Amino acid sequence: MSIEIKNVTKTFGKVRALEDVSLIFESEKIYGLLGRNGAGKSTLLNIISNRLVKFDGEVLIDGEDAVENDKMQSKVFLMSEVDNYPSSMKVKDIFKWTKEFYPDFDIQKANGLAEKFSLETKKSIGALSTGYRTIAKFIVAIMSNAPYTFLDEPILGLDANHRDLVYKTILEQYGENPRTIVISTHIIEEVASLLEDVVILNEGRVIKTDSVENLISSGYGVSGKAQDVDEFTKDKNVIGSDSVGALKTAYVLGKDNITSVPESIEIIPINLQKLFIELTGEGK
Amino acid sequence: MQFDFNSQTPIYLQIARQLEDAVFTGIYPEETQIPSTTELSVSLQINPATVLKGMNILVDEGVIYKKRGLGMFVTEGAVEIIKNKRQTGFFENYIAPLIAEANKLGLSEKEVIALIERGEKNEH
Amino acid sequence: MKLKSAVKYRFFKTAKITGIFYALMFELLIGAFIIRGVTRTNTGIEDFFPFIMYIFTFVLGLNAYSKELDMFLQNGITRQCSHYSFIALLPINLVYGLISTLTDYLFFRVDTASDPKTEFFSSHCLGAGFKMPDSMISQIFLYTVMVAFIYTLSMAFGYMIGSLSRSMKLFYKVLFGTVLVAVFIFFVTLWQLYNPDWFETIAIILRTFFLGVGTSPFGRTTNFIIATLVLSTVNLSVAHLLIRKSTIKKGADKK
Repeated sequence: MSIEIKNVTKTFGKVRALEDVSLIFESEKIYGLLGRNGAGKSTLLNIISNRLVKFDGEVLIDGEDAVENDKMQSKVFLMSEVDNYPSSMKVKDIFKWTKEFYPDFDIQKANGLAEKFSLETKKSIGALSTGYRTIAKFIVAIMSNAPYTFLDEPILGLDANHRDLVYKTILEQYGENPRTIVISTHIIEEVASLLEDVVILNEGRVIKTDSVENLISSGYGVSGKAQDVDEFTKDKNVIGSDSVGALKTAYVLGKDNITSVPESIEIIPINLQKLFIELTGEGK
Repeated sequence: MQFDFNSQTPIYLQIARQLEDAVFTGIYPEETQIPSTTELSVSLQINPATVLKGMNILVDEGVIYKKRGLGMFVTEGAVEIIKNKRQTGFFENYIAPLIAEANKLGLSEKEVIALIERGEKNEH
Repeated sequence: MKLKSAVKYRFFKTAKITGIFYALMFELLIGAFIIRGVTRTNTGIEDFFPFIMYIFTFVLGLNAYSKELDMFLQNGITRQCSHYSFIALLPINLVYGLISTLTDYLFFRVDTASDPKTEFFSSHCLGAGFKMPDSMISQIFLYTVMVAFIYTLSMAFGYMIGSLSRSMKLFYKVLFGTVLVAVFIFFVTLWQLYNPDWFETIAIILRTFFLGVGTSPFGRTTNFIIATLVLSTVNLSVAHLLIRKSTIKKGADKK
């Protein structure tokens, strides 16, 4: 039970949005789909959810072709930045119709969650502020209980309190009804601890798919006097560096067995955001 | 519980350690239930799989066990288990680094022992 | 296929628009009725009513393609399902046909020199060379059915235009529209100035296509029904071909 993406390539005119992308979204895991603006995340999500149907390659949902497949698409829900609901439709009506199309949608819980967010369900979605529109769409997505739920930038435009509530809700609902939840974002720091696995897209290609744990332990930082750092890392896979005067920090990929560390340098851990930045920097 | 997402120690290990502390200090007494994976996951905002991994370490050590249909409970004698484990690890975790640091600072063995004695005196 | 849900959605949306439309329409008709009662002359609405209905059904078809598609794609409904749910809703035109007939009897029987039904029959039947049936019931039946099928064709045509509109970028839409208008003006000018023979030929071909030959009004009507159905199917098929490539709203074309 999974979504398999096989050698998907998508071109828009002259622009190659996705290049030979292959990956798997397994069931009942929380994924992060990370990438910079324009990396191809939304394109990939649109392809999976049958919104873009012209592309090279294959998308299989539980073994069946995803394109124009009613049965399989009813297992998929995508919350996207684009507003696909008629702007005059009231939030409570959106809940009603979502239940019609996704029978597992929980209207009661959705209303409860709307209250927590102080979202007025009597308002039409077009009348809401950007932040509240995101919240409304998030509520619909998370309460749809779709086995494969995709959230494209679920925290865009939300204040800190609301972001916190979003994270809590995701973990709560996942705990109550484990399913695949894919959080697509370019804001990594806050979301990192929620993720089990991560897919990093850069310029249309998959550059990393792994568990967060493996990724973090796959690299480290070397900090100290620039000369000493360079000497220490000369035979290692350096993916980037920061410098402040004579103090330099180099970021290394590799589970090198560090036995002897010169006194002048320090080994520091690398977090997901830092790793992401170094892997997807300019000209990589 | 506090977690350092930037530390060398993987989160799941930190979870295991902090849960262990809570059991050791009696916050979760023996034969009582500890919060579920989901509860911990939500309150700490950490992926449940990571939380579960940390818990499983404690299960393997015999500190907690799973009661079918109910959840995770602290085993009887867990405190003793933890104490033994920590006593065994005392040298590795505290003595060895202490000596290394003392050497870095140029303190002699005698000076280190004097410091330890001073510490013991202050405690009592 | 979630056809039932898709049809339900379309139905509610259509019912809402229809309700508003008829509410407005009846206000106008009642107003005209009263004015006619007072002034004893036609207000002009009477002649326009059938055309208003043709435009209404065309616009319904036009909207039905694009607006609902976005909502459907958001909710995991496929393009196929969206398309078939539209087809499933076409019988609503029979209801519109019935309402038109009722309207005819309620609003146009009294104090009018002519009413839509009589106009319709005189241009469609007598004009094409056959008499309308004598019995009232037959007349009502034929009128309702024929009008319902015109609405169906109009709706299918609107739907097809909607599908073209969505698949074309703005530039080509403007180009296409301009060319159509230019061709139209060209032909109308030709007709006004020269009234060439071949105009009459085209009219005869069209009449024969829609109404067939023969003396039986029922036979002629059946021909009409088949002709409109064929054309509707053509329109629907064009839309079907285009819907298969349809993407979600503009936003999705960006990365």
